[in-house]
Amino acid sequence: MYIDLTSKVDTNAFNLIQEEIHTGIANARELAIDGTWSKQLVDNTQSSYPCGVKLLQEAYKEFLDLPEDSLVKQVGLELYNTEFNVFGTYLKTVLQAYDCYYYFKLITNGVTNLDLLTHFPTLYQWIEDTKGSVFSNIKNATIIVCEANGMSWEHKNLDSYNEFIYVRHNLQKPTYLWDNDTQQRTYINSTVAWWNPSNWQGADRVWEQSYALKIEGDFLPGVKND
Amino acid sequence: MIEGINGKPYFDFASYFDYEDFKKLEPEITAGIARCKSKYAIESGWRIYNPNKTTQKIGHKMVLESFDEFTKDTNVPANSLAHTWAANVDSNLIAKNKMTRYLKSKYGAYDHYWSLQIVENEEYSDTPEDIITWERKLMEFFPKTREFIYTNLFGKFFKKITAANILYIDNDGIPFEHHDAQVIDGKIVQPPGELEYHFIHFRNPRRGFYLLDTDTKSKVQLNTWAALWDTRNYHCSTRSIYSDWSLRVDGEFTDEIKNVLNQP
Repeated sequence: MYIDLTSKVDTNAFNLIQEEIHTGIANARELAIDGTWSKQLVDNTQSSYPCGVKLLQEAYKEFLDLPEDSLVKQVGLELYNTEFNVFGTYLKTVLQAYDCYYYFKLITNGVTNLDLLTHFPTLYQWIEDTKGSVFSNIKNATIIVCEANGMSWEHKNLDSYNEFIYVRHNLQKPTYLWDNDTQQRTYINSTVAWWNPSNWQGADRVWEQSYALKIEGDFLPGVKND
Repeated sequence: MIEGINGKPYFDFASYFDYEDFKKLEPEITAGIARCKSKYAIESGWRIYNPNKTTQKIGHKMVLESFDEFTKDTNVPANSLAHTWAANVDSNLIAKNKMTRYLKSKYGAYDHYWSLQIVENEEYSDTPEDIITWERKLMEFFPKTREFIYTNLFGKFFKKITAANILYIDNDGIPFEHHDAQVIDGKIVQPPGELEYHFIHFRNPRRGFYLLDTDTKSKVQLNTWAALWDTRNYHCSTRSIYSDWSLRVDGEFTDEIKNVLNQP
């Protein structure tokens, strides 16, 4: 169901930059984007448990349907246009949306976020070093932070690159792929993994905050086959 | 036993206000929370949890426990920013916030509360200049709420306003049963028959809120959106998947309100 790619990257070097990552997450918090805005398919008829909460995309549709003279809408539009990174928190607070994630977009469409570079310099270098062993080029790199006890609803990523690695420091937050045909979960027991993004994926709740690093790009020939 | 007011567990202020007036503040407050949460809000309370008094079974690590773990961790690199933050947690809110986030990220600390102080706090006249600037910046996001406080509360309810805090709890956040009374040598100090804090607590009534009798472990629900209680009592909001907020305004009640409350 997934491919273990730990042998393709320098996990020892990754372990050594944990302090930078933890201090970076603490120090650069205001540069993160609140909430999950990527295109995801969520379908309660296909998942192992009902999502049961209002996701940001649903709340956003509700927001757009508000009358133009609604103060909630007017204030929200100003936020959306000027401070999009906190708009998710607004929808959570004003329309009871649910989302326990925030995202540091380190690289977007090949472009480095220079503000984040100052907080995560060694991590950027580590990502760069995956070129040559995993990627021929890198499109996106994102630190995905899930707050303590946050629910990770099962979903399919609709705008993910087909080729990516999902890197974790440990396996403390169990992450799995869900096969609705066989009603089986396959837990990803690897700290560096690839899977087909058309699979349903989810994660269990844990009491601690957790993070993952997702790097997307084009794999070198043979990476998956090896 | 619950320490009551005028023979009741809490005092209901709702009839003194128009709920619709309060509701009108919601867009400003929710947008302000969004804007300030990661910049100017105080992240988490470094609370001490007392399992003998409460009804909650806490499965997670409190921020103070994590801080203790950090101080004993000999593997933290000497050049880590965390050492600088740790050295300043008692004197600098910005450093304390960063330390809190670090403790959440690295040591698994848990606390889903944020607080936003939206009026000048007279009790901290020795506050460093950079923190005053930081706090004033936050206040700029809440002009209507501040106007509500100074127009509707100041003079009529309070002769002096010393604090006004918006408390925000994130999705799924677990509120902690706690009291706010001053404790010296392990004992609550409060003159008999006298409230330590004069305040009105406004909240969205969709989330439950209760006082806890720590002897019987029974709970008294607050069936109001504007209340005062004796802060010796353990109190807590109920858990919800929704994020939510409340506003607590503190000060000194006017003589008229003191008379209503039978306070000296």
